[in-house]
Amino acid sequence: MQGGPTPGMPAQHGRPQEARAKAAELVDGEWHQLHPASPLLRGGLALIIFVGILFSVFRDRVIGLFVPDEFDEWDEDPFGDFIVNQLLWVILGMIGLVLVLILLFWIGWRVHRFRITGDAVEVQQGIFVKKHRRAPLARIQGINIQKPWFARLLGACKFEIQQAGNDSNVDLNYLSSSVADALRYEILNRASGRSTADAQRMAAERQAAAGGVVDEFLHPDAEISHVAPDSLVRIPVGRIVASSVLDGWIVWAVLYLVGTLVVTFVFQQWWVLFSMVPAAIAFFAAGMRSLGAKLRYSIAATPDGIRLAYGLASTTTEILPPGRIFALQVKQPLLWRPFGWWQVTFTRAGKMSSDGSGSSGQSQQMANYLLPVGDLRDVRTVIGLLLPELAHSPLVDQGLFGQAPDAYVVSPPRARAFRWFSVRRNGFHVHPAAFLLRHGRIWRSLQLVPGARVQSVAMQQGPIYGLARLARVQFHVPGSVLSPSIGALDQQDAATLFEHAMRTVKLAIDTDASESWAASLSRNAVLETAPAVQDGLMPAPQQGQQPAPWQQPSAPQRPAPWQQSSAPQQPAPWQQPAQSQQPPAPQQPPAPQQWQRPPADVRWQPPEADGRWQPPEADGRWQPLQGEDKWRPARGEDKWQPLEGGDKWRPAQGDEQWQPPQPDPRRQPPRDER
Amino acid sequence: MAERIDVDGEWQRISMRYASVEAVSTVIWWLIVGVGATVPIWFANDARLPWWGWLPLAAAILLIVIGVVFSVLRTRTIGYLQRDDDLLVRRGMLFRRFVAVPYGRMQVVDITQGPVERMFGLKSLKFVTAAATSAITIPGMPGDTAEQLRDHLVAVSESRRAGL
Repeated sequence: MQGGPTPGMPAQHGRPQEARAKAAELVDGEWHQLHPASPLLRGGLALIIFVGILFSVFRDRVIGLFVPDEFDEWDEDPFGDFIVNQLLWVILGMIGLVLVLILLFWIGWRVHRFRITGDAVEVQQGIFVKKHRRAPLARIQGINIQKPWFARLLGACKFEIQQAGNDSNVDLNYLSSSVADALRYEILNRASGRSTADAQRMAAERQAAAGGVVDEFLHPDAEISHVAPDSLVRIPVGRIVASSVLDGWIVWAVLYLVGTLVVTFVFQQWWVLFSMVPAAIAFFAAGMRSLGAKLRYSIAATPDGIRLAYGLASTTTEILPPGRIFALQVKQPLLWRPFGWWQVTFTRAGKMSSDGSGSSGQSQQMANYLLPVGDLRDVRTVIGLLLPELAHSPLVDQGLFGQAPDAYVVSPPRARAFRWFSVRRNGFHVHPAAFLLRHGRIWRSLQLVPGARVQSVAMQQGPIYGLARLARVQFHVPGSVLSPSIGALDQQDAATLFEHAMRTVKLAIDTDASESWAASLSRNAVLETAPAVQDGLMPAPQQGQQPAPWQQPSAPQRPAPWQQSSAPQQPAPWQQPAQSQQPPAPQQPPAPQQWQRPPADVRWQPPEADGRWQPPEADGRWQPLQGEDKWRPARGEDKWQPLEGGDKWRPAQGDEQWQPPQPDPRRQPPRDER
Repeated sequence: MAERIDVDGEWQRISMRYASVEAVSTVIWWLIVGVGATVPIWFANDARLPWWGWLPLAAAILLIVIGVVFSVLRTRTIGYLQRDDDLLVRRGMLFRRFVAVPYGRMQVVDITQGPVERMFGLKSLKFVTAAATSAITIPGMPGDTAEQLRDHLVAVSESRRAGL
């Protein structure tokens, strides 16, 4: 990256430098305190409100004390009289109470400490009940910086390190806004496994680009926008408003309104009108909140993952490192269809914590959108960020619009009873990078499950499906937002998908390196793909071009050649024929073999190459490098070219986001291994 | 009837004693329900049972018989299969379900033993992955089998630890 200051961004060298120095101080492995205003923001606000209420209740009495003869009718207020008569003691008591509370808050703040070591973030808190939480850096699912409007006034923000699992997030509430962003980079640097020198260089570049906190209220993501290009998608405000109006519940609200009016006029029950007032307020509030969360949405690629920023009054910026998104769903509500809008939701392992501090509703609702609303090009951009292999693929188009004779294996015609309209659309495709599940003809949706993120796969068949010889295949991913599955498949297809899914998942897991992502090239592949995707240039879906050799678009009743009645005693037909191209055996049989009742030789037996099943890497997408025991995307295009050194890759055209590759990131472990 | 889905392989069946465990649970449950329905009738009719007062008990006994038969059938359908890269668990005859878990994805392997299981010397093995939906159990592991399988799975999954 040799770009100068981002245009339109005044160069401020002082603050980022300072912030980075502070952040470097925070990650020195010692214990540190949170923002001094934390107690106030965490709970002290309630105290202030309490005092305020108390004051407003007794305001008139207090005024009456100093301005006598104005109000005399306090006789029937014994409680107030008591307070007025014992004013001194009451005031003393209140002051004492407040002092004790302040003391407690202060002690709580003192003992609430955090430290960031080489491999984990640790938090200690609690006065009477101690709590110590430790989060390994390698398992970070994302880092959120939330700025509720009140905290913004005080220059503080919530810093949430998401971990997989329920209620396992590590929150540093609150941190100083100026440090938070630099701290996030430091933590992500360590988690990424980037070498120290590389991290220094990137930090220097960030400073040279001179973003800094320019105008926090106008640019929620200004602090980091200099690292990555601006948002890859632009969502006009009008589109957000219109899509919200057309999206589901507002339609219901209008229906409710009309229904109530009809009831009112038909039955002449005018009082019903009053019942609408609270409902209207609720609808309005909910609508404004969801709208406020969608406005100013931006998504971009940074070296450390996908950055989401959103929010109007309370802003959230969030960095999701690669491999922390477990499934995607692209869907289109019926009313969006005339406009060609789509929505992309995703599921993640962590859960947004809701501590009832104002903006939790927003973040919980918002955290699932990768794209609140966008057209086809935006959808492709977002998919390309996550699965660069699919960015130019016609599979996405077919998945969104297509029907039976295409690359997808669809339900058999006898499944019409289960999928009335979508029997020719309901289907799946297995790409080496992801499983694509296509649903629905009226409510279209497409689910993408990266193979390396699948936790387990289930195949099931109830009695009714059994009669129709259909089955369902389910992909288990963390999080509760999406549960990708595809039903009403022919049971042969389902069985093949089930078997094949496990092969693909295995391969994907072996080639996956997102745990310390800077060590893999996939990150740079994302960065390098993103602008190209935005051009919207993608090959039109061609019938003749077969995306995978094992799927033939023709002959829907005989969907695939891998299906032809494998003899049951044969070792599973999906096992790969022995090929010279095979990866150098990442899957050795497990060493401890004390548990193995069936003899080992019947397990893994590469059948002779009968051409029935060809592994996904045979189609030129993955090619082994010579002399190396790992795999890299070859990406048939001319973007990657080997240098003379042999094991270094560099993009052909000069790309701003491209960082020259370090010699071999994997061979030198960047930080001392734990 | 058409052929149902199946996965070929040398499936390991669980112990048939697990049918007894299921049967005992079924008997206890339906006896509680049946007696619980009968006693109020007995009280309401001045400590005497009319002829129809026996109906709940009869129904409970019928359900017990059905439940015992089904527990035998169900136990026969539960099995697991160790493959090279994943563990396959199946259960159900009418509602069939196969779950495949790659070894590297197992986060926790639990062994549990309820009181009835203890009577029959059986244990249950429970796997947890990062996805809540994929929680699966293999009940009815006899003797040391559960421990052996657990140790083996833990060793294998440790060597193939693959993040999330």
